[in-house]
Amino acid sequence: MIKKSFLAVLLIGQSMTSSALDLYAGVAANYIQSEVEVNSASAEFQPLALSGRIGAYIQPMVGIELYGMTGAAGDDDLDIDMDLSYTLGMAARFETPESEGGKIYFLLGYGITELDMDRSGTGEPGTATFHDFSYGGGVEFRLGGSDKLFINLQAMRYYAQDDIEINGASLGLRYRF
Amino acid sequence: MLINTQRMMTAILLLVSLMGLNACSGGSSGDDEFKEAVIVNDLKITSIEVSSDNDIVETGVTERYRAIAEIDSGPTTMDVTDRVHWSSSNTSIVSISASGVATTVADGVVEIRAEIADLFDTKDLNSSGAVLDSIDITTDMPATVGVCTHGYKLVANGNYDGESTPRIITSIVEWTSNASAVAEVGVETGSEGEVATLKGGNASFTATRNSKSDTVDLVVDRDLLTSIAVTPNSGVSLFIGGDQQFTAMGTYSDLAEPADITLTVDWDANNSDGGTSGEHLEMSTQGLGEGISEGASEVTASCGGDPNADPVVEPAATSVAVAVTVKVPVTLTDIEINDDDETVLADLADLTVQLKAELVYSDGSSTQDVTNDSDTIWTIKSGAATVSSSSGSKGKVSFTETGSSEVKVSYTDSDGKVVSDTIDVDIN
Repeated sequence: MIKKSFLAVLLIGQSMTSSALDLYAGVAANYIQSEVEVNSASAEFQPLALSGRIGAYIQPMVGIELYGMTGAAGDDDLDIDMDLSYTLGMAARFETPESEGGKIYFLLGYGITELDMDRSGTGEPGTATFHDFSYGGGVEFRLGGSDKLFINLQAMRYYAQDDIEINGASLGLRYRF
Repeated sequence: MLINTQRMMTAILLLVSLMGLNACSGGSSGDDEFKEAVIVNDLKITSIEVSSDNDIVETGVTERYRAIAEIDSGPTTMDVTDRVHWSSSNTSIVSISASGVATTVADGVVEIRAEIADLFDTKDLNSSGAVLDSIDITTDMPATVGVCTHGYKLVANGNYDGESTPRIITSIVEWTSNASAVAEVGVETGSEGEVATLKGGNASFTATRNSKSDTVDLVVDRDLLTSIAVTPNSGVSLFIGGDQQFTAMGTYSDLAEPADITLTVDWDANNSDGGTSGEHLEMSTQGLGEGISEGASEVTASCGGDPNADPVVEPAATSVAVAVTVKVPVTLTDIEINDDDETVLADLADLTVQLKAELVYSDGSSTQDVTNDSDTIWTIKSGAATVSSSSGSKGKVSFTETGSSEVKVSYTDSDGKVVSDTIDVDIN
């Protein structure tokens, strides 16, 4: 595990220090949809979250990015409060050629999400972490004819296993340096 | 290009490394608590309570625990024994299964705990090596009962050396009946000590453990059962491969209310049209009938007889018969407009004609008029006529001038199967 972590850090460093990096960064407002369904019981939560990403193009239409998200507002169902603590992950980004100022992109990666649940004000069961492959995509348009600033609408699946799903939709801005 | 290739390889290695940090597939920690919290609040459980027959048991035996939940609304309690997590404070003294069955291994006292989400309850269990002195059987069963009763329960109370309170040892004693053809006593897990009476006579039940025993006597009176009613009792028909559950209720002269005797009566199915018994309908001992072949059958529920004895010598105390028809399953095969005619002439006076659509089934004889059914759609395939789709007048074709039109009807059944037919409508 330590060797793998060291290798990952080393590779990130190598990627970032390569010459002529084409970097980008972005922020977004997220609508999270999390469903817990077990036997005949189910609860659905829609907390809100803010996210950011930083990445670099390794090919003209292929990028690699780190993303993070933190909760902005919780939601409740069945007298259970649910908050998103954080999401951290890494994804590969694949874009289609731009047409009339817009393009479609796809994301495939791996991430960790922590949710905080409070049953009927007891504070229990507390937090739980979920790690899984994440995937999704979106559409992106140049903002006001800018060649650096883009607005995007994105949908992602962060976790879908064992009766629990965590999905998200976001509206965000991305700046290409 | 070389730099880009290097970057791409770096990125791929980076992704693979990150994924490797988190195992090959996804997972979670703490999600079970999330699910339990949802279950608890969905069922509106406010607390749970642990119960068992005994606080003190022999070493080397089992003790069954139950978890009962208090519900905020609806029924006041709910058995959640199979939903909670069971644990023992010392598994070297007492272990406990996921279904709440504790097994004592050594002498000592442990805390048995049941929990779900953040709710829990505990109960102490003393595993004791005290010696069994004697057994007393207690029961709410009268000394004389009718045939085909079940549900009376015998309870074995164990008196142990040095203990003032008897232990309930129903599940760990050996139960026997000296006349199992007259009455049986349950020995299976969960039914220990339950009595079922089968025919008239005398029987004794004995509970034995560690060479200690107690016995109770029972008289089974055939005449106390005055009648049997079976439901359903008329218009029963089922398809081959289908099944029908029958219920038998016995009326007893010594009981205020009829008793459910479905599990103790003798079920049989005789062919009404001759042939081998059970050829058309097969009955289980629990009163479930299954269609075997097409024909008429008669289900009988009888009680108190000896199936191996001459009926003249020992007839059933009482019995009842229900006629049952077993049919070949039918499926929707087609739809026909006006008995599958190719052409129909419209009325020249008012330039209209009312069409009729009927479903045809696989048995060839069954039909169903669906002209105005909500799942029936009438359309014009060609020509200038119009066809009504209004409820109550569906299938009415109207012309404004002489000519010909092709009309189509389609119907979709509940399984999504679609059938259709067309007809030419002429007006000259």
